[in-house]
Amino acid sequence: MKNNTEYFDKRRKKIFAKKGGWKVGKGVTSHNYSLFDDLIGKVSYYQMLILQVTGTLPDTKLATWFDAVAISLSYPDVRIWTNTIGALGGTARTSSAAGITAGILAADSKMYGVGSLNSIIPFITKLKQSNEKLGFSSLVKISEEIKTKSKIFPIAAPGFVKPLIKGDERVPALLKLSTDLDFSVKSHLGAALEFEKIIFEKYGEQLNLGGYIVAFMLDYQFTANHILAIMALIVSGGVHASYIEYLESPPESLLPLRCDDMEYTGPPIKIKPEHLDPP
Amino acid sequence: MKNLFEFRAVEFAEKVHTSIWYESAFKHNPYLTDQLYCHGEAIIDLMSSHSFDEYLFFLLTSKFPTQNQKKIFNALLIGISNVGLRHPANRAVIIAAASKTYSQNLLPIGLSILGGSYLGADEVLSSMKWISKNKHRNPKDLIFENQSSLIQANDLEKSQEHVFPGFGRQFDGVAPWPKRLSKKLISIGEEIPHLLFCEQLVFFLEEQDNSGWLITGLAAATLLDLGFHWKSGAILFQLLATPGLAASSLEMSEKDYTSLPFIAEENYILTTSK
Repeated sequence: MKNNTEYFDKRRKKIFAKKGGWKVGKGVTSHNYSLFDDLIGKVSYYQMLILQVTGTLPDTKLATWFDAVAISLSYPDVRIWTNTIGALGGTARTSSAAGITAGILAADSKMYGVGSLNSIIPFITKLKQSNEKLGFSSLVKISEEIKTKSKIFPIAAPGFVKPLIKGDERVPALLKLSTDLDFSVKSHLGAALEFEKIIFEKYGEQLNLGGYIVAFMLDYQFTANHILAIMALIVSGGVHASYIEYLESPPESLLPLRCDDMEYTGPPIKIKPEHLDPP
Repeated sequence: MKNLFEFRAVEFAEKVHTSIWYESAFKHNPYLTDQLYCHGEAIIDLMSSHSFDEYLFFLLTSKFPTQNQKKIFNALLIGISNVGLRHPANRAVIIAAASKTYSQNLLPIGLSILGGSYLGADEVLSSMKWISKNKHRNPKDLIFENQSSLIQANDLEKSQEHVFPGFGRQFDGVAPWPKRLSKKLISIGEEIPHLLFCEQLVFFLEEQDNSGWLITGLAAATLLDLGFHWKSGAILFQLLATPGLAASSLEMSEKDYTSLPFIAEENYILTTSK
């Protein structure tokens, strides 16, 4: 069968750019904003980032909120998994870019970080739609449907449990900030907070930061793709800290492991007498 | 209620457990490895007793391959060692290498891009899951139930969306290379129910949708026939594709940035300009 390759032929050796680009000698544009004339010195890093992703330059209020989210995800505690990986990069003398991005990549996880938003976005959307159409009782019904037999998590509710602790101390801090910034609670966050009341009473679980971020961003018209793109690097602060701490410490200094610190559970070891000879 | 934050009552393991590796400690220093064992076998002994493909299969499964598995595994290792010269992952390492990215970053760059759900590791995982779930179904029924996807695939811009994970069109056509690979694998392997199921599926897909095997579906079906669980699909695909990415990285690291095309000003067309 003859294939129609017209779409691809049109794009060979040509780029049709919607976002912007660089015209040498004339300047750089991002969504019709001049990088040099309109953005440098006039907007914050997060305003620029959101412009690049969404095509809309947000006001400083929203940029302040994003700054606060990034700060709230920057615990410089090496025990946090992403940070441990950054620290391991430091001990292994990995380059800053490789060590830190390896830590950030670990946050592409089903359990935490930007990866977890893939399941939080549809769940928060479901809560909002259910609350709007069927009211509070439908949220109660969902709270029953999500019970698990897991010994760790009583419910499977993306955006509402945290692996290490019950509750999330960052959420009240950000809720207070958003009130101070005059952001109103709209339908997604409203449904999430209603749902939190139910599951806190039943299971002692609360809204987590991922759930809060998603609910807020959906309320302010960010699409799923835009949420995932903007949040891709959000954990970086703690990883930077952990990387540099261990780059500046001796190799092997992070929780040194002896051979017997790894527990072998496999088939019997076939030791031959010659294995015991001196090397 | 908001001030209640407490550690979850979870018991963490004291140590990492592994059923694969055992490092015996050097008698003068407990941090140093004296001998290394893999599934109970000494690496020192395996170095002279087995070929690399046998060892790799053993490492991944804890069992040495049967003659049939060895033939299929070896063919797969060679067949998809290059997932495509123009695959986004290979293009990524070519650009990074020629633009002088530190060489130690080239494989991670290629493998990250290879992680995608379009012709990448995530698609292999999805494909293995899909094949496992549907292998007892009649391929004709599966296609009939997905008529809406087929119709959508007639839209040229959307034709790159895969009808089933691992199966679809490339550049509006049936990709002949994975089809050739499938024929070769089917010709040399026995006990290959997943490859045969997919071969049947592809027969109808070609007829009704001008779509067929993709490299991801081929890897998925073959890995299932080798006994791997669908959850291992992403990692194994990245592993299998690494030699090709490494070779491109090595080749392009020797060149400079002018050995890449750079799109001229007149061919960079802004569709939103001030």
